[in-house]
Amino acid sequence: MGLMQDVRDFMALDGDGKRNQISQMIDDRVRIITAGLSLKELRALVRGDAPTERPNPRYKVHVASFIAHIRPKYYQKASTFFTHTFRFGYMSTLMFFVEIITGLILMIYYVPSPAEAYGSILDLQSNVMFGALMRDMHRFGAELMVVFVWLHLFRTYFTGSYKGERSFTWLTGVFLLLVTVFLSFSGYLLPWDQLAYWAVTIGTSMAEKGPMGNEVNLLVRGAPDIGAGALLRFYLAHVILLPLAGILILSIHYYKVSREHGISLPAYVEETDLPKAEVKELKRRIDFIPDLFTHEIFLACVSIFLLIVYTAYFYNAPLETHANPLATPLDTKAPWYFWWVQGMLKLGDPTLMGVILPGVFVVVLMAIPYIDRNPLRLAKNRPFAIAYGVFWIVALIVLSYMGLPEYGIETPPAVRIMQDLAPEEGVGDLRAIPFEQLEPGSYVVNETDPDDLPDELAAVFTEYQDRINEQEELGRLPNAQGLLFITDWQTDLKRVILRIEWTDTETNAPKEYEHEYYLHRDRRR
Amino acid sequence: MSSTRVQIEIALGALFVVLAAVLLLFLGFEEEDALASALDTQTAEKIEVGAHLFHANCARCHGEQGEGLIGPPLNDAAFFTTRIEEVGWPGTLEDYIISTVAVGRLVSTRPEQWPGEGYPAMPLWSVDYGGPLRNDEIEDIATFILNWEESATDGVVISVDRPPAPSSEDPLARGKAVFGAYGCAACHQLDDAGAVGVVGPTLNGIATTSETRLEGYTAEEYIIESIINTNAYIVEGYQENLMPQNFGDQMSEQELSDLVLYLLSQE
Repeated sequence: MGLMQDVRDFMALDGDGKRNQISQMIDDRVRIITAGLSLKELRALVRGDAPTERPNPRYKVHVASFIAHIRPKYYQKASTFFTHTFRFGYMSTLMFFVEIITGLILMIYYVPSPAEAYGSILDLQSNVMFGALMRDMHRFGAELMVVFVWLHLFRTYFTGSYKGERSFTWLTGVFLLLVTVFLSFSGYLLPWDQLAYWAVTIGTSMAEKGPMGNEVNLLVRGAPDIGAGALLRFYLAHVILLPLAGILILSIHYYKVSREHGISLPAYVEETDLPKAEVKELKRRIDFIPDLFTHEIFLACVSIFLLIVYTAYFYNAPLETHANPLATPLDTKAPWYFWWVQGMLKLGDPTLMGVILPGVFVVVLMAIPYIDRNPLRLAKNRPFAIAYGVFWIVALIVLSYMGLPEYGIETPPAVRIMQDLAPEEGVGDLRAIPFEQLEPGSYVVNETDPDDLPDELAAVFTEYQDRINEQEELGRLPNAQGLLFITDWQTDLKRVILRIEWTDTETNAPKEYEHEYYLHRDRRR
Repeated sequence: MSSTRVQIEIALGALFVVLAAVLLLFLGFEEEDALASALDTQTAEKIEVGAHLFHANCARCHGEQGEGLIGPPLNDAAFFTTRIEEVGWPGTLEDYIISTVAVGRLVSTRPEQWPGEGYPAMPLWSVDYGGPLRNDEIEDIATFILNWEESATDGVVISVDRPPAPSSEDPLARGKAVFGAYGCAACHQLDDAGAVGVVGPTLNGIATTSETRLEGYTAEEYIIESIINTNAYIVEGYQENLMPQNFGDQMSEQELSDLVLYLLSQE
């Protein structure tokens, strides 16, 4: 009865009356969805005009709407300067969302079992539209996220934005750093290739050296060695446990920033003598709706576009050969954000260097706001803190370099030469030679004239020759002889043999090291 | 922020969204070719891995070039055209290869021609049944074998170019290298060379045995004839037509001489 009466009343109105009634209904609907903003107000927002109503309906959105309640009502102008934040916190969060979206898509195709994981990645790259792009974006986005989180930490440290009421925010931030790093590490294992398997073996072997090492190792791997148990646990940690923990802690972290204490002002605004008018301008409110919100969307559009361009044309997520628990490749290394730990392991006892000291480092990082009693934030007012920060950055860089296989690891010269020319994993100079230039024949170092060879083959042969001669001159390969032998093996397949012979420095017995390589026309070059 | 800034950011943001959409559309047109190319690369790298695995595991019975030794040839036209029909295999040749490699052969289907290693004629390889190879490795071997199809002829022509033997001063060392390079270990036992083959007679102590094995032959003559004219004399209990008959053509004079000297040192 009520509806029929409403319809009758509506039809009784004249033209203008009907139009007003309809626009009123639309206006009501829009206000309900937008938590209080009318159509007129939305138009004003997009045009960047002032609010169309009093009181200003824009702030109320933050109270009435779920999604907008965690966003700030406003920030002070100076705290939004690019040179203060560099948008590192924003980019970290944006990368997190990119990872979630690309990750959800990848989950459709990936199978977390040792027998099928590698094959599912191959399938993704050769049989799924945009599969390679999704994987590249996910991998590169993960690297970027780790980078941005670290940069955000450094920025917050050097602007002293962890003091006072922000100390708990800093603490949650360090937890987020740990979540990010472990998200990256758990994802690292999933392709189940040699890179994944051995990098994670190095990383998790440190779990054994800690307190209750055996139990922790079994918890992480589900077995003494890395296998199906480890893969499944890492997968579940990667797609459920750590993302949920990350979202929870990020919400706590961000809520304090956006609703409690805001982004810090640059220290000079608070700690130098600026004219009052200037300070007033620097502290002027910049509203979230529309200004900050528009800026965020803008940054997202630009960043995602750049990300797609880069990953489509300039980046390929690495995929080595299938994981082989029986064969450790030469030059195995941990993921780059753990190189510093690998470097420390070369300095001494694994438990001390791999577990205790990194643990202390993390605890000290968390405790910085409680250790630092200096209430001032301007750089020149906190020289010790700045020096301490610079020292740690330099130390991390140096330790990371020490984590590389080039540092502190002796490889026999013949092995080193062949590994450099044709690494066990990856392409290398030898495999990059165009197929046609691999002319079958026997090429002897210091006898064959490189000028007789096609260009790229000649270049590799010359490098081979130079390296062998260099080692002979250094006395490490006495009486060295080198051979490069190429033969046709199958359709589009050639076999290359590298052999180095020398006299053992101690026993004077003849020694030889030989390696065979099969090179196909269509392989990656 | 000024109203202009909001408008500029909205416009630019929209522009980048459009650019991204156009880029993805563009990539979409090329995607099928990109996928096909990725598949070619993956197949190429499977063949490379398969070649390496074949050399390490299969060549000792099937020959370096799949020409067949104690196991049947995998590189001749008959294998690609008639084999699966011959045995009544209902599936593809690839599946035939994979299943044979995975499970092995308890009994040879052609024991007079290709006896293999006796019982079982061919070992099993898949980890699923306790063997040493993963299933993806077996697939790689199958991909490698299938790559012979294009060049397979009736009757395999073996023309394996071998690298020159190490230029050691010591003929015994060179001879030992020849022993290794020509796959003698596939069929013969020789402790000094770490060879454990059982298809042919043991070569432990061959220098002594060959002195008296055949009347009218010195040890050296016996060994030389065994290598280059393999069917002239078959040791009792072993089969004829198993030892490759073309070593004489394959080996150089120097290689043969070194090998014989090496064997003559095995007392």
